[in-house]
Amino acid sequence: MLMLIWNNIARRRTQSTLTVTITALTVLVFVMVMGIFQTVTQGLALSRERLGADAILMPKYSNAKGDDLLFTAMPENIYMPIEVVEQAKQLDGVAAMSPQFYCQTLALGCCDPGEEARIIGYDPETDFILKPYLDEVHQNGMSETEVIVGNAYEDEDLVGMNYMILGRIFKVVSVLQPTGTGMDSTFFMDWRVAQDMCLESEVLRENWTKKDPHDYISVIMIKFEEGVDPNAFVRQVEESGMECKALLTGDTISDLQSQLEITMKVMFALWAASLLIATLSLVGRFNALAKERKKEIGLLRAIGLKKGQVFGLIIGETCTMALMGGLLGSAIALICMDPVIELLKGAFKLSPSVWSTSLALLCGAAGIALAVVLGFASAVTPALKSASMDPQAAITQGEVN
Amino acid sequence: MEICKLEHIHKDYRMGEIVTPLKDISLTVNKGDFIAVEGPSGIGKSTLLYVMGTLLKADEGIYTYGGKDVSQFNDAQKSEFRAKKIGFLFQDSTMIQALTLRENLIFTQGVGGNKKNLKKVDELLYQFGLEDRADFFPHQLSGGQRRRAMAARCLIHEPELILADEPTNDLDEHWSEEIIRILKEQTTKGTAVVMVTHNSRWAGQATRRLRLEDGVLADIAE
Repeated sequence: MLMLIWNNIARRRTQSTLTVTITALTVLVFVMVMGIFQTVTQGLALSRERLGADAILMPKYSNAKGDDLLFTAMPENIYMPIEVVEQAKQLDGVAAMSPQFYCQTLALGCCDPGEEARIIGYDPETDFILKPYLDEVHQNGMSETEVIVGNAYEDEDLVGMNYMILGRIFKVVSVLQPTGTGMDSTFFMDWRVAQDMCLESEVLRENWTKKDPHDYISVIMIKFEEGVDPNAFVRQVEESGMECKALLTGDTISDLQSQLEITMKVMFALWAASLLIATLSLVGRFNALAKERKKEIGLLRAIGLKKGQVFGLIIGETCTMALMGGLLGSAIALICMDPVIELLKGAFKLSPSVWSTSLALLCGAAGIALAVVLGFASAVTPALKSASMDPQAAITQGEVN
Repeated sequence: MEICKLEHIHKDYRMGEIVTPLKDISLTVNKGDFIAVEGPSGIGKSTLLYVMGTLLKADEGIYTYGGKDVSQFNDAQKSEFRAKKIGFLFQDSTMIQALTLRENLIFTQGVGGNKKNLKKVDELLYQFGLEDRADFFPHQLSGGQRRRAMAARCLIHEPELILADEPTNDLDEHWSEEIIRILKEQTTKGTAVVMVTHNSRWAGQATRRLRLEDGVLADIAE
């Protein structure tokens, strides 16, 4: 029986190729939609979990957007007077706060990041964002020539390597765990070093001809005390007259999440439509195949095959082809996932988490399972019809009926 | 020794009007019988073979095989019965398209749990002049080659009863004679053959000649 199943697939190449292709395309779309959905959802959850800050205080008249700050590593040269730090200490409901100073790299030469990237100067004394990810040696800060890199540069072997940033050589002392945020594409150093570099760099110096970067900061990361109403905090900042505004990170993530959910719903709806089309087309194909082979099925019954064996033969064929389509579709989808996620990151400021092996296996397995279910569901009616056909009628009427 | 017995078999077809190809058929088939059933086209000769092969259920009457009432068999029992006892040679050249000729024979041999005997496969291919076509697919064979292949398939599991429907269709003189000779040879081993034909020359080779007319079988006098 297995020989017949395999030969029916292998020797009816055109038919089999069509079936495998339809299944593979359906699975390909499913695995990609599922993979993207899972990655983005996990990324958002990871962002929420690892971001650390409940709110960000940023310059009042800055045009920088919250999602740019959080989810992209877009260099943002925004600054407010350092006095804001002292004023912020007077705010109610603040459990912890830490200023940060932003500047950016420029594409330089050998051993540099190779493209513009954000540099965040953080205050080791007050920091609560990076601390959870740092080893014991660097819990209390880094030297002037040390830097931490985000996980987008992902290779753990970077630790100990040198990077040239704005003309200075830095030694990488740590690579952060992935956060799914702009932190992953950021270099972190002591804020005083970052401020110094603004004066040392010929290009950046142009921005600081009349001002001293040591008198400025870019943002203040805020951690709320337990039970603080985030909206009340925003109002408090507005009413304080400070030169800053408050951005709730939770809101930004939730906004992005709801936008993504809508997008994903549309994608799933489109995928469901394609699944329906694939199912109908496979049902049509298997019905046609069963009719085409009516005489042969009559012969099989005449030489002694039982109804169950005929059913098993057709289901075996369709499920094998579906399995092949599932494997092919899943494999192509998994190969394409990395570039697609990169594309989405760039286009939509998404914050996908890492496309991990376990997630790839999960999506691939789900795709294969879907293919087999699709194959079975599409073939079950034609298979039942064929199996219960009157053998005499099948032989004598053949493909006429 | 009796193989099977049909008693007062009646079969109607309802195709807008009622057609009754088998009105009252009674027939006993013994081991080694070579029975030829003659009659004009469309009279119901093939229907008789389908009933005897359990591919079609009679509306009335009793059909016993080896003393057992076949009409009481369920589908699985009928399938097993066909796989082990019956050898069909259909009027149409029907074969499993995705299998080569040799694979068709091997597959048929194995249905119903019969033991595979590759020597027997080769013997039959040689006997029917198909040894050089063993690895051809059905669509690569001529009509006559397909007919011979079907005859080989009919014998591959050494059935007790061969039901041959116009076995010489598509065959030249030589192979028509050869097929009849081979069928006759089977009867010497105890196999019974019921052959439907409208060719009196081949019917003349049978040990018993019957004519089906108006739904009733009648012996043709020598």
